[in-house]
Amino acid sequence: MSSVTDKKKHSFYALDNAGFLYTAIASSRMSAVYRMSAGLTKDVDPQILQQALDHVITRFPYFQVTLKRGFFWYYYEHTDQKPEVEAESHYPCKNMRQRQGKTFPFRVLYFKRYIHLEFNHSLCDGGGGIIFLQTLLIEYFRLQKGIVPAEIGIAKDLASEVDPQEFEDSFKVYYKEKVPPPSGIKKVYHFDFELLNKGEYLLLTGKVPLEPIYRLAKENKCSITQYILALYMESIQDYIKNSSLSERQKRRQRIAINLPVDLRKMFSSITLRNFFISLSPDLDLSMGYYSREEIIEQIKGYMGLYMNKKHIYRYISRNIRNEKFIVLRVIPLWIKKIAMPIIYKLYGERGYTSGLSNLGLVRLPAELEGLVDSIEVFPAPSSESRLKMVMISYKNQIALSFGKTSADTSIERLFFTKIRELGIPVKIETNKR
Amino acid sequence: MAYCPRCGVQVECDVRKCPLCDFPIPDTGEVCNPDDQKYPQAINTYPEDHQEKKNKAFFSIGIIALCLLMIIMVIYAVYPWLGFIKYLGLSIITIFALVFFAMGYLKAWKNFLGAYLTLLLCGYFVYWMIASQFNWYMAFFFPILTLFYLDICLFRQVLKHTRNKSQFIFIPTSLILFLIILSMGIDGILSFHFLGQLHLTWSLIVGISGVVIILILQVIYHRLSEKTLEKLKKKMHV
Repeated sequence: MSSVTDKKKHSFYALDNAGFLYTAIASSRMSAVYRMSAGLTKDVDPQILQQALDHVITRFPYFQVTLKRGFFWYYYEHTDQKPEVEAESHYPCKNMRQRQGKTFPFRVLYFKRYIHLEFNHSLCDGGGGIIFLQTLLIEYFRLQKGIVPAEIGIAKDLASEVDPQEFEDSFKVYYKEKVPPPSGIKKVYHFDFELLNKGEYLLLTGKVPLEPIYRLAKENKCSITQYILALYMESIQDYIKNSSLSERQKRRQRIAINLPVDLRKMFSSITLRNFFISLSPDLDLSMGYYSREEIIEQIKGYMGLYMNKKHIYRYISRNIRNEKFIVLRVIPLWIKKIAMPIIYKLYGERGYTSGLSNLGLVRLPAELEGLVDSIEVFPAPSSESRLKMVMISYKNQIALSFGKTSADTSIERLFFTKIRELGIPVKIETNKR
Repeated sequence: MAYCPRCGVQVECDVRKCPLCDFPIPDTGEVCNPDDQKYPQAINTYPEDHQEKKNKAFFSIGIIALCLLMIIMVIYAVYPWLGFIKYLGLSIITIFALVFFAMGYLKAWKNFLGAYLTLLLCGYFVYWMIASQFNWYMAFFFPILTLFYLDICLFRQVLKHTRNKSQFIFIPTSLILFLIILSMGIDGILSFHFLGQLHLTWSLIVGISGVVIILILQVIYHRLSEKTLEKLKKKMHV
């Protein structure tokens, strides 16, 4: 009886505030779908992968859902259907036809020795996705090779009970009333690259060794994220410097990078759903061009000022306050569906030039490290922010992965040339043919 | 291992041009393992998905149009004195044809031309059904519609060339330009018909104010160059 009640109770999952936005704005150019890839040492066995997925999905019931249309908002509802693995054949991060209730909010793809997980951002962020990927890999190798790791790290034990905190909306849990919102956004420089055809998306990964980057970051007394961010901002600054804009126009530009911050550690949350806010360190070129050291100092100063609980509460409160605002809530969904993409197009990405997300160092169980060659994460496509980067470290290597809705490679060339000039080897992989 | 001599980055074995700078990758003679390929030749499913959605919409509109036409025909058969029913039927056929061209099933120029001819025909049928003594079709409808279409062509070209620039500046600029040309054209056609000569009146006001707004927008976008500012400062000093 109790299990029936539990099932009923957990068949409905309200979207979190990031989920509301991503479901409403999703389109072929802005799919809100990001990708996680695991490169194995041998070709993927699709049947075993399917079996592993069948086992794993039961441990993640909050992922075994389809999007449904409410009168005021979309929501996720549990489904008894099982997701199926597919051979990769189309462009990465393809739009999911979720609003038609046709698909799961994630897909599992395979191609030769690669397993790709593509998540709709309305379901979970990178922090939640990586837990699912690790659990899937552990189960895959248990079925294929009988390996049962002694320590599974952040992955979920399939025999364990589902903790309700795994699917809680942590934004609501840590929301504080009467905290003022952060200051408004300023319009910043956007790349003027020609867009690709709708439905096309290019990926470009630069693989660099972790150790020299770590050493350089240490020498500059900053984190790896801050160091890579500095190189990235410097590349964009160089691009503007060499562009055809007049000197006066160049000096009017402002470069801001969207930097998602995982809030799980800061707030001791174990949710797999979205729980991040975005900071935007920036460079104002009206004050002149910046040297690399100055950019690093600028970033460190910004992070020192804003990367603290008090300031982060302002973002959480702003997001939840908007969600709780009664006037917005009672607007019927069909109006929201029309208005939100327009508002997002005008203001959503107005405040940042590009994005950089660091998922940190991923550690697989020691027994699997020899079987998994690489792990990479790619950002979701966007038409306004035409180039974005995600970095992830695994086995002494950093994968710096760009996702772009343009064929232009100017920024990546400047960025990786800087890394080469530091004497660090770079290996480039891309789906551009 | 394959390297780009210009960028100094290592690239995948089967790559012939550097993904960063397009520089040709020298052949190292290394034999590439096809199993090392990371990405398949991707298929873009967007055109297919989009076509599917379009077909559904067109099919639904077609069914609705057909039902409405049948209802109209029945009403007309029962009440033949209801003259407006004919115009209603003509409007539905015209709208359906315009929707067909808007769906983009044909090449862009064919759709554009098709929509133009549809409107010309629709106008002609109205003229024919009204059986007016005055030939307003040749006097006004045909030239104004043609002007409107030529203006749209120009508007599209301007938009195409400025699509990567600030949309808050260039869309209003193109739109104002469109309105100036249209109003001057209409004014010209009317004056030519009524006065027998080209005599622009109200459209000049639209034109001058429109040009002023365009200039303001362009100055906001480009800002005056230092040289022009200097010149203005000298000329305008008090």
